[in-house]
Amino acid sequence: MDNKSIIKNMRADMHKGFRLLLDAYQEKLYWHLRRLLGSHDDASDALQETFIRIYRNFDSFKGDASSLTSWIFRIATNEAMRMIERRPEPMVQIDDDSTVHPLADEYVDYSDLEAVKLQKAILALPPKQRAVFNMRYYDELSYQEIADAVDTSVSAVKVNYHLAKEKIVNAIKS
Amino acid sequence: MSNLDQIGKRTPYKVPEGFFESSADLIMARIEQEPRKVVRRRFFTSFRAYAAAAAAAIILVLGSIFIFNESNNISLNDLNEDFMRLSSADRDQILDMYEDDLFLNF
Repeated sequence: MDNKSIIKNMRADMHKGFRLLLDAYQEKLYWHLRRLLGSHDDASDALQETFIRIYRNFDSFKGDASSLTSWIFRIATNEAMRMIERRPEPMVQIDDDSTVHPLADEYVDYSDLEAVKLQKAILALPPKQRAVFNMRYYDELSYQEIADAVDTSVSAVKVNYHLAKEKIVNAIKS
Repeated sequence: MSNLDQIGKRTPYKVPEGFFESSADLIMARIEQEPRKVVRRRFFTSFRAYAAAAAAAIILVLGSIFIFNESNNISLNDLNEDFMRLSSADRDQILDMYEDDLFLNF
C-alpha cells in the first residue's frame, strides 16, 4: 500500500485507513526502534506509543505522500529519544565486552559476533546521531527525509552520518 | 571490502514468534478506545457567517426564480426545498461564494 492510498483512506475513514498504515509501517518502525533502543520490550512499548501518537496527531499532518514517511519516522524517533532519556544508566561503551545493557536481551543472537559488535558500536553513538545513521544505513531514507525526521538540516545529517560511519568502522575493525 | 560491507544490514536482533500479529491487535484495541475521529470537511467557523451565507443562497435562488419565473406564487418552503435539492457540492459552492461577502458579515 503506497503512501498516497494510505493518506486518502485515512482522510476518508480514520479507522480503516489507520489499519492500512499500521500494516504498511509496523515492521519497518519496529526495527527502527529496535535498532535505536536495543531491547525488544522497549521497542515493543515504543512501537505502541508511536502508533497511538500517529493516530492522535494525524489531523495535524498537512503533508502529502512524499512527506508521510519522514513524519512517521519523526514520531517514532522522538518516542525512542524520550525512552532513552528516561533510562537511568548511560549506554554501552564501545570497548566494554561485559554483559551489555540494553543488548542483554533474550531476543538477541549472540552467536553472530560480527553483527553483535556492529550493534554495540551503533548503540554507543549519541542517540540522535544513531538515529541518523540507522535511517540512512538500514532504512535508506534520503538525507532530506532524515533531516525532516530529526528536525535538522540536510548538511547536519550528512556530517553526522559520515562521522557515525567512521566511528563504527573503526570500532568494528578492532 | 570493509567489515561493515561484510556485515551489511544484518543485525543480531530476533523477535518473538507471532509478535507482529499480536502487536497489531493490541494497537488496534487501543485505537478503538480513542475518541472516534470524524473527517473534518471545510465548514464555517462563524455561525453568523454561515447563517448569512445560507440566507444569501436563499436570496440568490429566490432572485433567480423571480427573474426567470413568470409566476409570483413561490413560498419560502418551495425555495428551501429547491435549495436542498441542489447537490451538496453546489450548496457548498453557493455558501463558499458568500462566506466572505462584506455585506453579509454583520
